[in-house]
Amino acid sequence: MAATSVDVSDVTDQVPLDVEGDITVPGAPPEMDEDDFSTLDEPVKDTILRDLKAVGKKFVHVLNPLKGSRSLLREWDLWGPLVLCVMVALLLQGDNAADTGAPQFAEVFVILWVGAVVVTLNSQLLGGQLSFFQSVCVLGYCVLPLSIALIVCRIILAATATQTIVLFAIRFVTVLLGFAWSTFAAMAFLGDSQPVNRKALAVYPIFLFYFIISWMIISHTHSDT
Amino acid sequence: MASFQQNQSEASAVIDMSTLEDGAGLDDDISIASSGDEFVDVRKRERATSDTSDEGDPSLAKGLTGALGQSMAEQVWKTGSQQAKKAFNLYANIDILRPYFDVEPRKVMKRLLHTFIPSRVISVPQKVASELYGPLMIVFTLIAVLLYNMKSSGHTVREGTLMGTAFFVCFGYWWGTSALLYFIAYICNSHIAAIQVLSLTGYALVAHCVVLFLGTAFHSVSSHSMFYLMWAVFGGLSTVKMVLVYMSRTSGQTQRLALAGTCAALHLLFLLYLHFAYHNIVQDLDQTLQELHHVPRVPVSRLHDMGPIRSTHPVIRRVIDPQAADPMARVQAAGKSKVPKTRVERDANQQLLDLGLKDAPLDKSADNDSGGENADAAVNIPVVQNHDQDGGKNENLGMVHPADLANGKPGDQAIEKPGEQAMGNPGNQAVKKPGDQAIGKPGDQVEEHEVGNEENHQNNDEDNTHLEHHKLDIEDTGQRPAPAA
Repeated sequence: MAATSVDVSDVTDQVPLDVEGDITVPGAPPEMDEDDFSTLDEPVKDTILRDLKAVGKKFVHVLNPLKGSRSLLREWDLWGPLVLCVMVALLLQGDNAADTGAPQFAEVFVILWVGAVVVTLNSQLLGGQLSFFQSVCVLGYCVLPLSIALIVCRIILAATATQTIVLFAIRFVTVLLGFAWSTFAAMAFLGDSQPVNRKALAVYPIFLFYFIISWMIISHTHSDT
Repeated sequence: MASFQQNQSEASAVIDMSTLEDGAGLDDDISIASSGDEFVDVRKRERATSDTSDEGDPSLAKGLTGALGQSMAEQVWKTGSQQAKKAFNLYANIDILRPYFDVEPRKVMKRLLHTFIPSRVISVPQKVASELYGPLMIVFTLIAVLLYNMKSSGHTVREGTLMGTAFFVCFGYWWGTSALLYFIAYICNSHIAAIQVLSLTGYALVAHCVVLFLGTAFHSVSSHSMFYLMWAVFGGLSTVKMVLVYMSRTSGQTQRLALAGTCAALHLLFLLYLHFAYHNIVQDLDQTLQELHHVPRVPVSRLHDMGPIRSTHPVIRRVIDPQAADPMARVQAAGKSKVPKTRVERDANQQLLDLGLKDAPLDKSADNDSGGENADAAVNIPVVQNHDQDGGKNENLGMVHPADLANGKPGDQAIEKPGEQAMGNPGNQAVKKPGDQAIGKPGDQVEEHEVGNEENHQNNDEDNTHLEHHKLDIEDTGQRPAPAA
């Protein structure tokens, strides 16, 4: 009895350490488990700051799409896409409440997310190597250049009372730049995951997706009051 | 004791290992989460069982059942989640669709080009691709082209719902027509599979994309003949291709005729509908306005679309004939005489006024030479002052025009705005009218544009005010008003 209880207590004493050791051996990321336990006790401010830093780092990666950086893919998160999507939908919604104020936000929101899902499904069906959420993450983050273009357009629209052709040309060029940047950034991240001979097939939906968003931005002519 | 230790080991090590093994086949994040949860559970269970095992034998038995029960619960959970994953993989598996996306870019391009190259051999069943990537991309491109159409027609007020409409129309046509054609093919004993019908119908939409894009990019007021030519050439070629495929796979004259006729009719009429629904033609507008008198029931949801027709009609007339300043004033007076009570009424009035106000920026632009429009600007000004929120909208709606004017089509913009709404509403009429007009007199219509017909203007003035009252009546009562004329 005493022996068994001693054995049991030995086992139970060693169990936490042994189990931790077993889990680290097979190669499944143990840091996640340790982080889960260590991040529970940290102050909320640290968690928020850490997440914000991760999002900010990904924004920087989108603005400078380098071939080498893969953190956008490895540690995907949907905070950035959510923030961008909500911002774009808010800015693009019509300000005439009697007209279609609420549906327009919903329309833009749905278009952005459903579009990202459709493009992701398409790239997966074509034999892509990325997981679903990784693709959605990349597509969402690559909306950043277009949202910057949208902010510039809104500033132009709000700054002057009368709109001239020159101002329209500036807006058009800005949105075109944003569109090209977004498409190029998305291609840089997603292109390598496709089979080489089908890259064009995967790129076309991305092109169309950002084209539709750019079209919504350039045709948005209501200025906010 | 040994069994207890074995249970311990099972509870501690085996389940963790199996969880890790399961995690290898799943999405990384899901597996990590589940293994983490189970790790926590295991540790809690270890502490629980270790606490109970420190007591005597009776409590040891309790500890046994406790550990057994918990490991059983663990097994049940694992089995349940595995079954759920299996069901998910079975029903929501995109791998079902994977074979239909197994194409190369060169093949897709080849199929796109061959949509316009009919094969004359009908004695042997022609080869049809069972592919969904091409049709899906073509449908999305068609939606984008439709958006472009709508924007260049100047319809900036309701972008969101236009997108939804375009989406619904394109996908609805693709799937609906395919379903109908497959049904007829089934009745007519055609040797064609559903996926092939889908693929064929989808690829034939390339013609729609091309025609609509070219038609909008290079359209001018007097060149409907250009659109009809493209409609005949591109639409015709793709129709012939589809028809020959169906005929090669069907036997019997009647069946061939039924299938070919349905296919050709749907395909060509859809192209006509797309062009005239989202693009503007003044003659159709006149006819629409006259026919709206006799429309038995006007759905209230469509009133938003109907607003711009009647309100912008004077715009069109004013561009063509500068002397038509009065109708707009009359319409606006009619609009202002009734205080808007309901939200729908207020919406309609606002659309009226907004689109009436669209004239002012047009007038200010250098490209418009008609002097009569300055009178209209004067008419519009009091309305601007009354509605403050429209003031902001005024400029912004006007911003569309410089953009479109930059494209060199001043006349078109004023003309092109309401047509889409005119044709959007009464769907059947939209389909019938272009057909009638196509058969009728395209040349005459072209001449009418440029000459300017005062008779129509006067008729339409009356139509306008009548319809204005009708519209307000409908909004108030929701009933059909008696046709005035």
